[in-house]
Amino acid sequence: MHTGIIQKKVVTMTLTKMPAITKILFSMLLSIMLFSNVQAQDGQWLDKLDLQEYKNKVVYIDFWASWCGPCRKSFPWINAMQEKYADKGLVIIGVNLDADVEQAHKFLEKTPAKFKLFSDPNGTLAEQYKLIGMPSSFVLDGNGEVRHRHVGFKKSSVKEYEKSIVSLLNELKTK
Amino acid sequence: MKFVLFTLLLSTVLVSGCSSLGVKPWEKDILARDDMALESASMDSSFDDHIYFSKEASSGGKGFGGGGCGCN
Amino acid sequence: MKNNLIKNSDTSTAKNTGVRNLLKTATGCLLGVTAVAGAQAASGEGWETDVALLYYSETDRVSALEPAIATKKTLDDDSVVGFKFVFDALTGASANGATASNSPQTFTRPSGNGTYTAGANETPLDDTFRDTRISLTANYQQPLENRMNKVVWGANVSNEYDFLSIGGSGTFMHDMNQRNTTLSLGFSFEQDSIKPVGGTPIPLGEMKAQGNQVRTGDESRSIVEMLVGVTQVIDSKTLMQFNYGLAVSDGYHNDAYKITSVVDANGDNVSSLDAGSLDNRYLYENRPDSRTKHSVYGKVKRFMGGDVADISYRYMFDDWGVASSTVDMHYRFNVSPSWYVEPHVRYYSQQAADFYNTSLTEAQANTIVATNDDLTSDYRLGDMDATTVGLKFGFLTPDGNKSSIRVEYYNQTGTASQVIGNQSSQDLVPDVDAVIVQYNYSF
Repeated sequence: MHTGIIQKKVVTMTLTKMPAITKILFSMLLSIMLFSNVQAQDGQWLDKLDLQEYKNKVVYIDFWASWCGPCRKSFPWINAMQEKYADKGLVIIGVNLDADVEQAHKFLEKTPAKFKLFSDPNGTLAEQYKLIGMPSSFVLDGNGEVRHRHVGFKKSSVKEYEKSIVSLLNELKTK
Repeated sequence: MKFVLFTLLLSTVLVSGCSSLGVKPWEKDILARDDMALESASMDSSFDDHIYFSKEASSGGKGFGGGGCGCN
Repeated sequence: MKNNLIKNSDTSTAKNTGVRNLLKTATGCLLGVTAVAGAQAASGEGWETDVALLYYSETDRVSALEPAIATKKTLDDDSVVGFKFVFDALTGASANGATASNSPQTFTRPSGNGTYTAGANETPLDDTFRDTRISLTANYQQPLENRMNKVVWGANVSNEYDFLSIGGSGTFMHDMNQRNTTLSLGFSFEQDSIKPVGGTPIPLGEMKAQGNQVRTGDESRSIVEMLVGVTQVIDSKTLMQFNYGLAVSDGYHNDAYKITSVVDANGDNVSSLDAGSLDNRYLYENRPDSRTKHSVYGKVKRFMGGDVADISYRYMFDDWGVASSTVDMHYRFNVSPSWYVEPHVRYYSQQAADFYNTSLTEAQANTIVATNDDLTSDYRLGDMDATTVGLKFGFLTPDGNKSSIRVEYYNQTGTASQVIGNQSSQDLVPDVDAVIVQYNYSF
C-alpha cells in the first residue's frame, strides 16, 4: 500500500503539468494500477454477512481474534488459499471476534488479510455456528451447507485443510 | 492420611462444580494476555524457588499450565 | 472511493510503524544483546529467549551471582521444545549450626586441612564455602491425538563440587469444558549423588581436630514426586489453580558440614569425649533416611481495571514434623502499554522439625547418641518466619523487547528451641537478611 500513496501523489503532481490528453491517459493507467493493487492487497470489511451472495461458491468462514496466536500463524496460509483458488470459486470470510474492533485493525497492520472480513464483536455468529475453540473454520459448499469444520490451526495440518477446500471446489465444477 | 483424603474430596468437588464455570472460547481476550498467564514470570519463579529451597525447609507445590487463550 | 480512503490511512499508519521499527533496530537495545530485526513481542515464531542475571547477597554471609538463559520454540505441529542453562557462583560464609558462646571457638574445615574460628559472642560461620553450580534443563511439550491432551517431558542435570543431581519428569494435561478447566498429573524422579568435601562425616560423631578425620565415602539420595492440579477459568478476568503435591525422598539427607553444640547447665561448651576430637564437643547431624512431604497450593489471578493481581497460599507438612505456610502476593500496575510496576510481598512461617535442637545439654546429647536418634541444628529446619518485600519494573527496550528489573529484600527470623544458661545473652538464631536483584531481558 506504500505504492498507493506514492501513486496518488504522482497523479496529483503530474496532472498539473502535463498536456490534456496525456493527463487523461496517464491517470487512467495509474487508476488501473491503483485499483488492481488494492484488489490484491488488504481485506475489505463487509457491512453485513449474507451467505446468499455467495451461492455456487465455496465459502471458507474463519473465526479469528487479535489475541489468538494460532490465528496469527494461519493468516499467511489463508491469504495463499484465497489467492490460489479465488478464480475457482473460493470466497474466504474472516469473522473477527474482538469485542473492540480497534484491536483487530492493529493486528491487521502487522499481519494483513487478503480476504473479506466481518466484525462480530458480540459473538452472535460464533454462537450460531456453535464455536468450541479458537480459531475455528467452517467450509460451506455451493449450496451453503457446512461440510467441514476445523478447530484450531496447525501448520503441520495445512494439507488436510486444503483438501477439504479442493474437494468442495471440485463439486462446484461438476454441477 | 485424613488430610490426603480431604484434599482429594475437595478437588473432586471443585472439578465437578467447575463444569458450569468458564467463558466462551471467543471471550478469552483478557486471559490470553501475557500478564494473565499463570507463570507470567517463569525466570523469577525459578530463581525464587531455588533461593527459598536453600533457605527454608519447604519446596515446590506450584503448578503447571492452564488458562491463557485456550487456542488450538 | 470510500474503501480506498480507509485503506490509505491504514497504509500510512502501517508505513509509520514500519519506519519506527527500523529506527528501533538501528539504535539497538539497552544492553548490547543482539536485537532481533523488526522484533515483534512474543510472536510465537522462532526461538523465544529469556536471559537473566540474579544477584543475591546476605548481610555478612553468602553471596551469589547467577546468569541464566532459557529458550523455547514452537514447532509446526504445536509441540514446544525448550532448554535452560543456569550458572551459579557462590561465595561467602554460612552458619555451621554451632551456637555463639561467650568464649572464642575453633572449628576444623570440612576438608580436614585447616581451621576457622568464631570470636566470643560471634555466630560461628564456615567461610570455606565457595562453590559453582551448573544446571541444564530440557523439556518437550507434545500434543496428543486428542486435541484436548498434551504431555510435557522434562530432563535436568545439576552439578556442583560436592553434589550431582539427575532427574526426569512427565506431566499429562487434559483440558475440559472448552478449555476452561485443565487437569494436570505429573511425576518426577531425581537421583542425587553427594560427595562432601573431605568425605562424609560419621553422623552423631564428634568434630575432630585437623588430620584426625574419620570419614566414609560418597552418599546418594533419590526423590520421587507427584503433582496433581486443576486450573479453572472462573470468568473472563479470573483464573484459579489448585494443586496437591507429594514428595518422597530416600537416602542421605544430612548436611555434612553442619554440627550441634553441646553445652553445660551454664551454657558453656563442654569438652569432647573422644580422642582426636576438638576440645569442645560438637556433634555431626543425623537426619532420618527418608522424608515424605505433602503440599497443598492454591492461587488466584485476577485482572482488575487494567492491572493484574495474584495471591497464592501453600501449606506444607512432612513426617519430620516440619509444617509451613506461605502467602505470596503480587500487584502489577500496568502504567502504560510499555511499562509496569509490580510490588510483591511474601510471608513465610515454619514450624521446626521434631529433631531440631538449637544446641544440646550433655544429658540430651548422650541420650541421642546412645539411641542413635535424629539430630540437626540447621537453622533452616528450625522455627522461623520470613518476609520478602520487593518491587519490579517492567519496560520495553528501544527495539520493542521486554525487559525488567526487580529488587527484593528478604528477612528471616528464627526462634531457638531452648536457651540454656548464659546462652540467654547470645543471639542463638540470628536473623538472615538478604537482598535480591534480578535483571531480565526477553527476545
